[in-house]
Amino acid sequence: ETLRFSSFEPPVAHVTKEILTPWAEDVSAASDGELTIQMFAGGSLGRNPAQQLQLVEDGVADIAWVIPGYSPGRFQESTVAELPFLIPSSTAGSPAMWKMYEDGHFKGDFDKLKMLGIFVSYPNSIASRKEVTVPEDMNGLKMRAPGPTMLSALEALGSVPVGGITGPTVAESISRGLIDGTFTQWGAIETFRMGDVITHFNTAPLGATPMLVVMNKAKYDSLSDKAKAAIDKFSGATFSERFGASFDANIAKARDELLSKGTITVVEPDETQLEQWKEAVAIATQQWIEQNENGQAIHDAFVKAVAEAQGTN
Amino acid sequence: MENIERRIKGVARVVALIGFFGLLLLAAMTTLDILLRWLFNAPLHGVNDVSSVVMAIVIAACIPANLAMKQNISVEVLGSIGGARTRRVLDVVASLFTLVFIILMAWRFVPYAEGLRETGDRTWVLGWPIWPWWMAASALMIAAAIVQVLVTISDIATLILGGPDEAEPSEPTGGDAIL
Amino acid sequence: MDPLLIALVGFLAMMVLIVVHVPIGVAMALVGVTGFASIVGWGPAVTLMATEPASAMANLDLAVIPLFMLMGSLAAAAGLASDVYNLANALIGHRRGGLASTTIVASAGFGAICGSGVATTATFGRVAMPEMLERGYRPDLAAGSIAAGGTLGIIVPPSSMMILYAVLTEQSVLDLFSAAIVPAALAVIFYMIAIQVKLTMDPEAAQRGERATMRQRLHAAGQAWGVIVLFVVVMGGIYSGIFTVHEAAAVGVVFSFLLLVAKGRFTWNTLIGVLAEASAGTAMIYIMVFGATIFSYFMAVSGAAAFMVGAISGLPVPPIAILVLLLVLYIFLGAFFDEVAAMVITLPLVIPLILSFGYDLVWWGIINVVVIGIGMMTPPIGINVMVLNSMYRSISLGTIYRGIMPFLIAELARLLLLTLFPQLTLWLPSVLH
Ligand code: NA
Ligand code: NA
Repeated sequence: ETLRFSSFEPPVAHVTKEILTPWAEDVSAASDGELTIQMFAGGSLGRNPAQQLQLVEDGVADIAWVIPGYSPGRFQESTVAELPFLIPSSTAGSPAMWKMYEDGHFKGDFDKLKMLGIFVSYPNSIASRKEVTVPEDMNGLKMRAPGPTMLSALEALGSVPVGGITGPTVAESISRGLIDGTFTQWGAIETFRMGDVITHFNTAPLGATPMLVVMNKAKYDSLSDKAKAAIDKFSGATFSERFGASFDANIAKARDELLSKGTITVVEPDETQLEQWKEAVAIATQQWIEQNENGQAIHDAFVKAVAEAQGTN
Repeated sequence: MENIERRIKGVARVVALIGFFGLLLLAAMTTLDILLRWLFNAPLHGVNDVSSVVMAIVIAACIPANLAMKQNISVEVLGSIGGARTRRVLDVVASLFTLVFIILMAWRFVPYAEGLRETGDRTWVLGWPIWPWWMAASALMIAAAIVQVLVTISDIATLILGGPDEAEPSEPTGGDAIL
Repeated sequence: MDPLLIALVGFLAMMVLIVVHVPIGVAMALVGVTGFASIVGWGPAVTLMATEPASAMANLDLAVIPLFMLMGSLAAAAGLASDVYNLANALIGHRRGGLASTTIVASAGFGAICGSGVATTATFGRVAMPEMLERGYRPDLAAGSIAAGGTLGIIVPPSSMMILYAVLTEQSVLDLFSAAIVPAALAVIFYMIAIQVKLTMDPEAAQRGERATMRQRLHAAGQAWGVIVLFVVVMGGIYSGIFTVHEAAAVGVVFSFLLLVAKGRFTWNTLIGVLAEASAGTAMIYIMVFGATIFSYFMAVSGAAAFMVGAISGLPVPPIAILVLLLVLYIFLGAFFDEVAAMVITLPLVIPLILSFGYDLVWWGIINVVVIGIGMMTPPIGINVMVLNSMYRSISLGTIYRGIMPFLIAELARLLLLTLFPQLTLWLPSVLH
């Protein structure tokens, strides 16, 4: 049987080429000919990142790489990973995300689909065309509007959120001065060719981007035991570890390449400054806890899960 | 019959006008947002949220009038080679296929909007529920399907009973809005 | 059945539907759904009938089209075309073939605030034609310069065609707009050369006008402030980064509306006419986009694009030969089909091909727009020619097509140049990045 795996990313982009495609090959190989997972990259089954979830729900694709942030109101619990100063890396964060799901902290939409993998990106920091060292430097800066989780923090910093800027248009928006900067990480800076337009990168970890690989539940249930076993073998915690390791390796590679050109100054806040940043963006965490059911419990469990995942690495 | 048709077309036109008046207002809101951002560094909140949901209705509002007035991009070479009767047969064929198309769309839009209600999808910044907007768009799609039923009946009637021979060449601006 | 065979049958079925007058968007959608269903199943297939239209309707890049349409309609209603025309006339009207050159320059100027070629043609059909006929220009030259100038509506950014291409191929609208600037300037220059060549061979086709005085020139410039401000605000705003393309279009709408009021031309009837025109055009484009995106799903699951790329790249021919063949095919199809339809229908197959050759999709987009511009003035169905013919029944199609010839040759020369030297197109966006 052939399963259709949709990715909105071009086939040469890191996650699709180095993580999802090899995963699909591994599962196909392990199924002893029961399964062929065919990649539909570059949005050939749906260009819009926000649409990927719907593709799986409708059965247009069987499996898809989904960014919950594009479907506000859904997978709400997973947005805990978007909070600042929680996630140190994809390697630690991704297994922690899976643990949260396994322990039943992620519910709702998570139960409606077959979860194959739950991950987070490397944490986002401030990439800008002006020097940003302390929180006060953010005052008056025009920033690409982030999702709801970090929006309040951005405003608390005195920045001006500018909406309607998509990943592919970030670089030109910065170069033309429409925005002064954005929350992002090295991989995205390379993918979206922001390297030539930003001058500074402040490494304070201001939250990460949750990501999922989901499968249509009915489709999964219809498969033979052998096929299910092949999928299960490479899914869950295993997939999270695989994703995290590869994602972080790519970040390191992208950072080295970008920094070798000498056009970007990395600003690493010291202990005192980090405390200032923590305080300045604390409102995001506070609001998240207030606005989400069991917010405090999920938050605390996540802190613990990340610490555990970090300990085992 | 002719009377009903004319009235339906009139209503469809008014709906499209209201929709596009909405677009004018969206443009004004966007401009205000830019002005505030530019002058005071204080943009309006969630302008894109409003735009994306209102746009759905603006576009859906144009579709009944589009079908009522048969303003779609088509290649009408065969009809202009053949005679009046050929053209009428082709009109019926085109109308029937268009009817299938719009009925499929209207039929799928309702569960789509319903699905958005169940999953609770919201806009990015303002957190507005999305489904009511898509429900309204679905209603406009249903209206468009009704319009197309009438257009198809009228085309069939013209084929069987004959009717005013539309000798006028098809309006050149009709098919090429994009150009 | 083999998916590739299904794709072939689907393609043929779509052609048949289009030939029997089924609207192109409708034909693509129905064939797309049926084809997708025969490979994947009806359940998932029919959901495409809602999800794809919905995602187009919520797409703010695509929303730029109705906004620019509204802006163009408002600008025309505000009489901005006459203002540009008078200014161009005061500056170059006294030269040999001055009014024809004026028409070209003014069309380019109006094209910079209007995204539609047909609207540009119709507008200058009203503004420039009486002027030229009155001054003893031969109808073929007069009509030829207006119909050719009209193509500048889509060749000079903003352009609905570029936005449509950008959305369907996921390119940046701004990249296309900036890539179009050098080619657009070339179009104006080539058209002016065409006029001079024509007049060298046929000096009687036009009379010289009088040179405007400095006072008259300043007056014309003063009258044209609306266009100039609109252009500076919209295009200046986009390129300088004060706003995005979508925001620029919105600002353009508001600004041209204010100009309509400021020029004392606002009536409720005018506004209704403008809204009706823009909404009619919008629905057509969206229905075509619905069809195109649904159809591209079918092409994707069938594997037809990958198969074609494999087959063609295996041929012992250089990529550029394939591309030239493709362009000839489009122009040929345009004779009895419709270039826009031909382009949209073949995109899911052609884009992977262009990418596999290592060419730039922005460049290909500009090339496509040039081809479509050529189609707008070539017989038997050149839309610009039809528009003029419907406005001036006394000028026959034959006369207009005769008038088009020098401009058509200029356009083919420009197409060749842009095809052979992609850097002409790609240089400016690379500088702006
Ligand atoms: Na234009
Ligand atoms: Na043509």
